[in-house]
Amino acid sequence: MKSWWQRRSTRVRLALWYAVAGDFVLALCLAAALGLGVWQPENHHDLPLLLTMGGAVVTLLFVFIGYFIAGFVLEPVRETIELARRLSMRPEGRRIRVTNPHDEFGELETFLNELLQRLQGSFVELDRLAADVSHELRTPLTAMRTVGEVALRERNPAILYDAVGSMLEEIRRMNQLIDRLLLLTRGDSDQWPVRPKPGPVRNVLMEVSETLGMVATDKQQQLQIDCADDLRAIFDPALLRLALMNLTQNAIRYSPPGRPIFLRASAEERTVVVEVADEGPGIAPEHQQKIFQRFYRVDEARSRAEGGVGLGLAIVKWAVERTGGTVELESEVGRGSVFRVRLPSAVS
Amino acid sequence: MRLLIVEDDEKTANALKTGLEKEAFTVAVAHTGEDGFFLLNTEPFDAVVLDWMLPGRGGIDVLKTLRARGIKTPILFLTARDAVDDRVLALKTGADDYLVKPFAFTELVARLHSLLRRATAAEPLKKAFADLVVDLEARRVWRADKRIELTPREFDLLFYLMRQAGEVATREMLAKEVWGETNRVTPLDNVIDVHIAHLRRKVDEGHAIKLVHTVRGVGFVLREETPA
Repeated sequence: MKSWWQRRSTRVRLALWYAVAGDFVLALCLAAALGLGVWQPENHHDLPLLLTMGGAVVTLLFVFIGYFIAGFVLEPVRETIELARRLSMRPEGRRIRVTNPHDEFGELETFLNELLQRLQGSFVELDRLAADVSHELRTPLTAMRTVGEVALRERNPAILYDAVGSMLEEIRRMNQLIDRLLLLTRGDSDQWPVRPKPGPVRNVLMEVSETLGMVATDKQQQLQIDCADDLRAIFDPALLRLALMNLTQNAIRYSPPGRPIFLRASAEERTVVVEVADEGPGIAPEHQQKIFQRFYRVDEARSRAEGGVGLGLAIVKWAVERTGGTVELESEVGRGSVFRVRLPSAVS
Repeated sequence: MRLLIVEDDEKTANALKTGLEKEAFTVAVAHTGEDGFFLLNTEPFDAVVLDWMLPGRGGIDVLKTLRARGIKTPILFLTARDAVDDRVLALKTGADDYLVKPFAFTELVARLHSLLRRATAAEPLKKAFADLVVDLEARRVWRADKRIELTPREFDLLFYLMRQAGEVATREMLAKEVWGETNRVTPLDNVIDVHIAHLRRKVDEGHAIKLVHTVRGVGFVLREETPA
């Protein structure tokens, strides 16, 4: 149990200041009375005693009154704290009432409300993450369980072998999911030191095209680079590459054979715009807003069948924003999609 | 080859022991850092697989004491954390290599072989497997005395598979060693699949014995096999 003094130190301090002010006023009054000759004590001998006693009485009186006034003033603070404490457990939509947003208490209450808002945001986010992850893990686990249980009834080694292979595939998928999820949730990890520096954009485009060229060629698609040799932007090469790899792979995956895929970059004022454009089926407007959210899939069955874990575009957004850029989507159903990455320009 | 595994999770330790014994290693297992340290002081080992998180005495502590005593046995570290700091700490303390859990068994085997090989002679520049010959210096490949034209990437891929012919190479290993990909989140699976398909076509087409094989759920391997 904390001592009386600790719990009431603010009140007592305020009361003492009150008393100091009271004594000061008393001293002023006496000095004025003496100076103006209003008060002419007959016996100067008793004066110190009188003043000391008077001072003591006044001090005590003012401490007493001050203590109550301070309690009265501080009571709302105590109530606010009590309320905030209760609300912090379940902050859903409930907030502290702000009486006057301009004074100190108002500022405190506003701040606490902001804190509650952020807390609620974290709670919602945490719930959503737990739900998402359980769902995402349950799918491969269900597959593995079924495959395993069916395989147990088998005596044919070839089928058993195949079952184990299929389970290992699912395990690999789960591992990939965890790797990517860790990247997104532990965003500030030292795994990815961010070192944005000025550099030529074309190199990154060439690298992506070189790595993915054969995948595109196999689908009779062509990766076309359109970027000036001397176009420079400020970016972290590893992060930009990660983002463009994901975007280009999506373009290859979702656009039909024979259609070109463009990797374009050009300078706009203060920014460099890097685009990955395809002539695929496009993305309907109702999906466009949510497509960068983790685990959001336009076509869940298809995405899974292609081995996706539903985090590609979330990683793109993460990577681009970490290197100081933004990413947006422009798409029209039937015409194709353009993913546009904006990076700070290297020319000032 | 005598091998010591220091790993507290019994299921993992036993699976590793069984698997590594099949790979012709002689395997001893310790479940705590203390036991591992005791064994290392009493018996000679060619290599050690050491877990980072051990009950009581941690892996890093065991490693420190060993190196301080001048024991130079190659040590492969197993860590569940993939933070760079931990890896750097492990390597600085004297580990020879590390693997991040969960790892592919076949990668562990490959790393162990390379650890044990490191001390011995340099690799030959020309390698042969069945009727396939690879010349690393000229970067040329022949099958049954007929030249095969490969792209640089296909060559690297084939050479990597060849270096550990008979052992499965996982997609993660190929991404790291052939494509030089340092992180595990860059999606390269379909890139690897496409290159393997091309390589398979160039190497195996027209030959009765197939050399490039897919091990489902694990990776790819170079071995002689006649399709059933």
